[in-house]
Amino acid sequence: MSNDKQLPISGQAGKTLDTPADAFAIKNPGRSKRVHRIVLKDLVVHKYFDEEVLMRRADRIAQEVIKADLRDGEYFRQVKTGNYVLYLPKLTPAAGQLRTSVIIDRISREIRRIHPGSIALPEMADAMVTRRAAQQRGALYRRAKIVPASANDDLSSKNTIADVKEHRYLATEAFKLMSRGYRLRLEELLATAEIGSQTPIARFEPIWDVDRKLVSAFRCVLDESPSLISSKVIEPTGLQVARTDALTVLQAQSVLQSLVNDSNPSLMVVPVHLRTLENNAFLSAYIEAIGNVPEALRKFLVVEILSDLEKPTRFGLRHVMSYLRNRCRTILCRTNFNEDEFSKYADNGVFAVGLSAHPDYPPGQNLYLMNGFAKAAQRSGMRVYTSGLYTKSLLVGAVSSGYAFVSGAQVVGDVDYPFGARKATLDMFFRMDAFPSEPTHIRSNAAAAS
Amino acid sequence: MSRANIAIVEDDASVRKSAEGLLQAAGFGTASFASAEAFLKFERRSETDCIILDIFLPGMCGMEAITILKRELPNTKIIVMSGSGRARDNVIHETAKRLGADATFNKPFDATQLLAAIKSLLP
Repeated sequence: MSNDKQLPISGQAGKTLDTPADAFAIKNPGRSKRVHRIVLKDLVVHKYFDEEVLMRRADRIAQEVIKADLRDGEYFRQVKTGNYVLYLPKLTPAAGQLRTSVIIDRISREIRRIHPGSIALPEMADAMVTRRAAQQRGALYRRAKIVPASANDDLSSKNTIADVKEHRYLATEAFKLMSRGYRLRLEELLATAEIGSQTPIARFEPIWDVDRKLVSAFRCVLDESPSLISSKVIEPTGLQVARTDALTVLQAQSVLQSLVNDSNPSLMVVPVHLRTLENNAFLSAYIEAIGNVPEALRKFLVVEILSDLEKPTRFGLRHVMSYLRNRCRTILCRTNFNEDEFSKYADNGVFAVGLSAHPDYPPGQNLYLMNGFAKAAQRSGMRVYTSGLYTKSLLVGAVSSGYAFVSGAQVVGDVDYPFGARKATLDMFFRMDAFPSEPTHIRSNAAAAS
Repeated sequence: MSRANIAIVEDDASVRKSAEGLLQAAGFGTASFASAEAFLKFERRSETDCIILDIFLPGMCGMEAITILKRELPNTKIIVMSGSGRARDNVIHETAKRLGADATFNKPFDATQLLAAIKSLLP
């Protein structure tokens, strides 16, 4: 720490801070919601370069980018080498976080432009965790063997960590790493799961493409049985949610592989919680899970980000999208009736934004809200999708409101296994026998036929 | 024209009341219901000549009710009403007609047009 020093407070073009409150906020970053941090170590590791030298250069680049980007009335301060705080008093905390994530993105791109060997975040996380873990344990980092589930596996009993002892060791190490704020590898994240609980996907919800009149996509419906302890429902922790998200990818991959092997592919919509993607500890593990999906299957993989509008995102959608974009076919964002800012989805290349009909609202109220949501989204050029349609009239109403993709019990009920692409007109959903209601595993059908 | 019986199935009480007043003033017998289930339990439903049916009802929705009514009361005329203002409202009207509705209207309905439609549907 001897190299770190407190540097004077800087502002746009050397301007001093306007008020004592401003000065207090920037000196006490932990106490103001309008102060945002930039940590360069999150952005930069080079495989073949001296880290200290690279960090000094990254410092210079970061200061240039920050100074060029700050506007009047905005300030920054270098807390120590590679560590900055931005004070954005004119922006709301959420807008400030978004702005900070844009600046971080620019710094990262500039660093990689100047030092082309700089590696991206997930690989960096891998290198950092490996190095730190090896230093602390004084031994080579032990890598457990992840056995990907194959199409013939009974997923309900298969463990993805081959060795129970290895599993316990990794689980312990994973919790230690998390408590120190390190990013987890996928095997560490999965190690925290109980052995045997590897199949979060309970059913598949068919999705109807209204314009193409085709049911060709299936959303993974997770088993949402709550944890019950003495009759109190326990909310899942961030770790449990992240683990479920990663396991969902693994299970979906297995199902997709099976469908492709049978020459009956469908699009698979895999949900992921925004809280997983915006948590440093879990993001790299999740990206590793998505990144492990073979190239041949990625064109069938659709990621659906489940966002909780009550909590502002830490990094912003752009940051999250940059990791997912090249690892799947396309990205959906699920929000709710309160959403009123759709341009951020359009600006970041989200394919469609959607919501669920509220099960407790009367159909007329649902349709009124859905109609308003669709109009607002379409004004920003966004496609919209909806699910949870619980009456036929809601289904027809959603179509009339311009929803491009619809799903729910009144479209086609959930199935145990995707049945591949099928043509479907609106009238077919009024016929009880148009779509399978029983489990339709292709192999069982083929076996029965033979 | 002998007095015809018209059922109004609409969950909004104010719309029900205004429709009843309009139809009674025109000389029709009326009965109103807040849900499709309530109408289907009505013991004199077979005497209904025409049903004015809202599409977005709680419980059994209007679309489902059309298919049941066409089966149970094939001679009863069905006029469907739905809220307006959606991008493709014709989808609702066309679907309702394909299922068996005889006429469709947007809400709020025009009284003159509604009465003209009823008179054209009833003998």
